[in-house]
Amino acid sequence: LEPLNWEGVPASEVTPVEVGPRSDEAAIGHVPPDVEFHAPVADGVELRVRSSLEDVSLKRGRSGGLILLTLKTVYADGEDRPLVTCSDTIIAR
Amino acid sequence: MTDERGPIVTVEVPIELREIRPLVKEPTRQQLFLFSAATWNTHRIHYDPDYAREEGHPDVIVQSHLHASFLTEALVQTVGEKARIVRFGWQNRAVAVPGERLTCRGRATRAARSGDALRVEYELEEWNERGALCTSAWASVVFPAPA
Repeated sequence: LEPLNWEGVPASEVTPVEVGPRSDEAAIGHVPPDVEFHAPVADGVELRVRSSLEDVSLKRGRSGGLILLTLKTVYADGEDRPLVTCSDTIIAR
Repeated sequence: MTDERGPIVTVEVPIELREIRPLVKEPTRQQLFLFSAATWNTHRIHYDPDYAREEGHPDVIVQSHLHASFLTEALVQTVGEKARIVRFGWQNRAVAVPGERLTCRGRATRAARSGDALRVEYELEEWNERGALCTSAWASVVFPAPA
């Protein structure tokens, strides 16, 4: 079984997310994230969010080439203690 | 291995935590619409049946994150509100549509103790009534020291 992206489409055949006119440039999907919860997030806490690009790779799908961008996003409190870390993969044509 | 609480020791999973009690969910179109609104998901395949069919789906489809929410609910039902989910990830394997009965189940794969805290690793699955695996997931749960 091939994993589906978060819109129910096989990861190798990603179609555009409907956020505007469909075009090849808008062809983007996601693979569901892997999330780590380091500490509870309290109501009212000031969050600092940092995203970094961890990896870029090319994959050959049935309808052409795909770019896989692996992002790591860290949500920290006001004293920079990590609260949540999220690893995400964005797929683009 | 150690963490901030001391050495990490592999232990047997307590019997009451080994199996996730099955949870059956039957999503509705209304639930999908509300979930899209609450998560700011504007994709029409979740609330516009005609559009979903144009995209090759039999009906509007259950959101990836709603599948994950069902599995999380099943997990919490067994581990209890005092346990803390410290990691959760999942993969969607097949689409699901409103009216389908989805059964969530799972099992512990290993456990480790550090200080008084117990960490248990789980694998979870959500199946539809035709026997297709819709979502597989993995989770880590930490149980606090007994009071």
